[in-house]
Amino acid sequence: MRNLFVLFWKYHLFLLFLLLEGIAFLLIVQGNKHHSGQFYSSANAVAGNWYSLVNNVSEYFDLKQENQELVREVAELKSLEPKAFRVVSASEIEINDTVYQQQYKFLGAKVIKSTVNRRNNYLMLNRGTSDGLAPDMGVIGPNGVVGKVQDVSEHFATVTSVLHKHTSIPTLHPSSGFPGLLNWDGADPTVGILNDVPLQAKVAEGDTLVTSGSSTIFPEGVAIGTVIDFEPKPESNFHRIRVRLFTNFYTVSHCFVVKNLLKSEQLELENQMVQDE
Amino acid sequence: MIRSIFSFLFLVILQVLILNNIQLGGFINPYIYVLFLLMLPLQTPRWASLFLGFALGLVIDVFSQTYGLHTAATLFMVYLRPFVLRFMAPRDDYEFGARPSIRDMGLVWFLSYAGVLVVIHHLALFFLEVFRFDEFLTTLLRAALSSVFSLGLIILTQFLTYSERKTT
Repeated sequence: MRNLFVLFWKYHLFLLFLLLEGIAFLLIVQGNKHHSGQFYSSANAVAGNWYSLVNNVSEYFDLKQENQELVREVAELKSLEPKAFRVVSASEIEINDTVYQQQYKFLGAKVIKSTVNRRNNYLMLNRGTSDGLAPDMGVIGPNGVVGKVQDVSEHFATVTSVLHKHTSIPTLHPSSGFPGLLNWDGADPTVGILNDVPLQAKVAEGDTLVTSGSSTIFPEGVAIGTVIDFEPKPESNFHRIRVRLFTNFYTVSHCFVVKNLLKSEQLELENQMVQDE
Repeated sequence: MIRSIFSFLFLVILQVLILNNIQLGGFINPYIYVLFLLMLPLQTPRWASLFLGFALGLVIDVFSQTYGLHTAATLFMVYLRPFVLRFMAPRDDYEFGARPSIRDMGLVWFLSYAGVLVVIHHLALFFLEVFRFDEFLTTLLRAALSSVFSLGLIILTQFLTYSERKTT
């Protein structure tokens, strides 16, 4: 017994190191599993409050550009106003609400922090559970896809952006109709990589890519980016397509969270299918 | 003691508010907060420096949403620090009360001491972040370039803050 204590004392620093390192790895694994542990939820709130304080100051630097973007958006909305349309023939158009059931709801949010310099990048939004956010909701910007909600505290949420190793977005190449998966290779924050598009798909430089709607996260047809160039992947039947992302993650400042009202229904059905197999 | 608390806060704020927003070419990302641990007095008990490293890493993690990455890398570095110090000890050991700084130990000694530990820290950090080896070269390049940049900033900070005390 005494020897045990001597041994323990001899290595107590190493054991302490292992213990603390163990805690750190636990945090890493927790974070990767998209679990929002008690600690990080509350820590999120602390960091969130802090960053909105910082953002209060730093947003003044972007005011000019921000105004231009708002003006552009107002112009876009004005052009959608009923006043902007001429009625072609009132008697021919009949709108019946029972035909269309709303599936997606959009909630505007402000980006209070965005990183681009890591292998796994995040954004932080000023919306949380009190605004109805939940993990795994899609996030899109004014220009295109931004990412997916990861953790939510009461007033803030973290979003794994497209620039993250776990992100893969179901993508459609509309002119050929072939689907693929969009990933990020960690190099250039303005370029994504589209895999799994077969070689027989006729891809051209400049083609626009959109979300495919096979996921429960994004609506169909949200813009993602344009094809920069493409090459056949060695020893496979698939293209490797480099994509210029529409969303500029350096400057993204406001975005919309997508709430899929039929998500649970869809997932339930999919789970049943998995169980049957 | 008060000086240490002050430099802890200063480095955390500098890291979180300014350096976390810096990236050059999408690759280089300096982490200067390790300077606090590099500058701990030589007589600091090892258990205390482990706890300090843990706390510092955790604070940085909370403000960068990185879930334990900085904690793990920082702990690793702080655990190895005494071994590096012993390896680099002068022939008749360190003078009592000396700090591992440029002022007390000279530029060459400090450069190699800080260089080794910063590279250890950055390698651990960047490889833990990627958590796989199929982007080995890219990760290595990121770690190497960032280390050079961090080291430059650390040396610069040393000259800015510690040369003053020489005159007093």
